[in-house]
Amino acid sequence: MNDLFLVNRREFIKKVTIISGSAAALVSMPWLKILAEGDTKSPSDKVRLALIGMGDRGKLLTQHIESFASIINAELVAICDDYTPNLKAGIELTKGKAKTFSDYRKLLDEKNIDAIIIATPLHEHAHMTIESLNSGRDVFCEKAMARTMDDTKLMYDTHLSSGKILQVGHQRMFSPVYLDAVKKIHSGDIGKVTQIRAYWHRNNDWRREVPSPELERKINWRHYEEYSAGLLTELASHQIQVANWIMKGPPESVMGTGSINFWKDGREVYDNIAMIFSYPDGTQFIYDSVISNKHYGCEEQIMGNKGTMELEVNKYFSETIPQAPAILQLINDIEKDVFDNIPIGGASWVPETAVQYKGNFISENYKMDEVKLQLEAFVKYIRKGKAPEILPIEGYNSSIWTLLAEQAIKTGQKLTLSDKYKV
Amino acid sequence: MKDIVIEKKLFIRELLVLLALFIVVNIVNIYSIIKYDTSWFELISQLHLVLIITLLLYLLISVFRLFLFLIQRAIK
Repeated sequence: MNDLFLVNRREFIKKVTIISGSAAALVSMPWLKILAEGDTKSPSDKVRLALIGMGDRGKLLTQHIESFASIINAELVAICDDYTPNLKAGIELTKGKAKTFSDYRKLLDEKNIDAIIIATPLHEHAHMTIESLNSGRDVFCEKAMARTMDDTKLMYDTHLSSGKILQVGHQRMFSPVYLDAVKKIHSGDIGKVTQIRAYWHRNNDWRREVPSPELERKINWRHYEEYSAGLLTELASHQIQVANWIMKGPPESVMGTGSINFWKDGREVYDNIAMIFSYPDGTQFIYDSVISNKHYGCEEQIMGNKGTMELEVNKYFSETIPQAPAILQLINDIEKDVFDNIPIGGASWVPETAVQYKGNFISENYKMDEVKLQLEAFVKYIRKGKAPEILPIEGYNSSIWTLLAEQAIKTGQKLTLSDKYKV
Repeated sequence: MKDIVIEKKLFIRELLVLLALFIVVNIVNIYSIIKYDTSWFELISQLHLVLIITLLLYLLISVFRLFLFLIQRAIK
């Protein structure tokens, strides 16, 4: 066990105890409170988890669970994948302790499983989640929820009718930096939020090696419309969730565009997208994603009339730039007088380029793995038998608006959400 | 090895030069606080800057004094 993780976890839980003690935070972030509750070591409280989908994400989740299972008093008792190399990797990661399945329905027949974690390709989320919920298990499903809006709604409705927990993998809701940032934004630190900009830029083809041609669609499922909406469901859904969280609700409309302008390799999903989501108070959320240039990376920029926050880099920039110490200002002025060029001629208009100012940190810059924290919260919810409804609602709104954005791009229209999909 | 002996008189003189520079830089700091209308707390919070500037000035003046000394010796 990583000592740093334990120290950070203790620090974070201490902090959460303080945050969750405030009435305002309890209303806006009710999912935090559970993390402040103590650990239980009782064998009868042990939570037995099963994981379906041992691809990259499944492997990462398995590593996390295995690394701190004893702390959260949980055990990964079963794993499932219908692709043998993935299942073998899962056996290695769990050191052969977990029971293995290649058919998730057989896994659901097992009696000693409390909850299911689903990390399969997107198009498989819906039926697996619905069957798991109906079998009486709590479910943690990776984002986005489903490939279609109807399936997304059905997943949410099944969660309600079964009374079982449905948590969607939006780990930023458990990130110390994001929690601090949203708390500060909601208490007015950057004034009124007037615009949100977000992007996720990568430079790779998102293609995985295929051992034989008939496995192309199975392995490179992110490239095919039948299984994925590409950048929308795999990347944008995270940032749409962040925007909704900040705006305390979903948008009112979305319009967008997209194309395949670089990776013309037989893929069906866009390799670049741009959208604008409009919120009821008139705030615009401007989003774009490309996979042919990674210079700007990934960011969410929250702009208010008093300041800006850049959440991925944990930075806050005030609109009122703090004054430099007087003596430095004097030195700068003297330096300018001595060394500045004498203007002979030039532009009479000075462009409003970005202000050069390094800003401050939003949150104490300690490392805490939010994926682990959300898994810990999930285990604690299972033990408690319930989770705050805001969690599936956040997941639902993010997924449904991601899929609506796909329709907006395809139709070239500005779309609003039909009442039948509103929750 | 030959010991370098610094006379007490010389040592005090150098200390006085440093003190004088420190006072001058503090006066400059007071002037800039008034000019740029910043907090008087900067007299304490920016002491590290004042000390750095003092030492830089001392170094500059020392170089200048060394030049003077060399020129005087050459003339003699």
